[in-house]
Amino acid sequence: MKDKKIIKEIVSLEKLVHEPSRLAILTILSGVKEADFKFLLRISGFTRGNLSVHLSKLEEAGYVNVSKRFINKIPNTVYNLTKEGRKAFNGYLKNMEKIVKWGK
Amino acid sequence: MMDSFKEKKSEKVEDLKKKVHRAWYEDGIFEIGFGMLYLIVGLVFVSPIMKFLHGSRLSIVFLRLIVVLAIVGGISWLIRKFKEKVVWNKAGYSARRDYNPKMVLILAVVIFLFFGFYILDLSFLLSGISTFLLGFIMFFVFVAQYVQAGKPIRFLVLSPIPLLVAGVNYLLGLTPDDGLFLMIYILGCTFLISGVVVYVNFKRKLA
Repeated sequence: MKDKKIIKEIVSLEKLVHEPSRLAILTILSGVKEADFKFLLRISGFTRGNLSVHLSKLEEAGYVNVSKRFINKIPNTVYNLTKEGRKAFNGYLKNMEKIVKWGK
Repeated sequence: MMDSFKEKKSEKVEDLKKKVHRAWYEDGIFEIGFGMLYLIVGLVFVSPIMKFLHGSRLSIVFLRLIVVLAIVGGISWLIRKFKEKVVWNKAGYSARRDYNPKMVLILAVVIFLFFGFYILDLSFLLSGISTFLLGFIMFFVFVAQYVQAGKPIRFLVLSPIPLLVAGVNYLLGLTPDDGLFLMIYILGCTFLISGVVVYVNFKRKLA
């Protein structure tokens, strides 16, 4: 019975969050109120293209909010986690913990 | 198998969280801000403004608090402008998550009691406790930064300095006023120098 429940949790691990690059982006965004593309690029160490693709996927899923503005007349794109994004990220970490406890 | 999987994932998540936290301090502006705060408060001590800030009447206490808040607000504004112009275009922009309201309230009360009643009113200083109090507060601030951010060893180097200065004050038998002056100027200069050195290295790294 317990095994079935755990297997269900493994299956329910969200693929979108489980992908390492996207998990890294969500981890960075979970620690800040908002951050721009350059900050995410520097902290994650990804290439521009890679980061851009993963951010688009997270935005499509409604996990990341994107806003554009100007700082000293220079365009600046700012990202932040939405409520759903934070919920998905925290839920993923909780599920992982449960699965690992079961594995021990 | 499962353990190593968990360890790898959680280690990476934790490392990344610490890296984000470190990013706020790697430009040294945190220390520069603290250094400026100390030195400006020190200047207020010796300025003619102090004539109007003596006494323990509630209105005077509020006036002292307004002076401190004006200094903190001014420094925060300066730092933000500086970051906007110099740091964000190279290192990227990020804003901290909103603080817990309870923590903000506790901090506000501590600042009110500490700055309002102690720091700016020399006549209120009856013992050297305030230098030790200041030393302990600064010690915990820097130790907390070290623990949260992980790597920056400079916080471990900076943290015992306030306690050392407080200890030296006590051993030298300085008056509370002189002790506090010494503490404020030494800490102000130490933080400012440390911040500038870190900032110069940070700029070199990004260039």
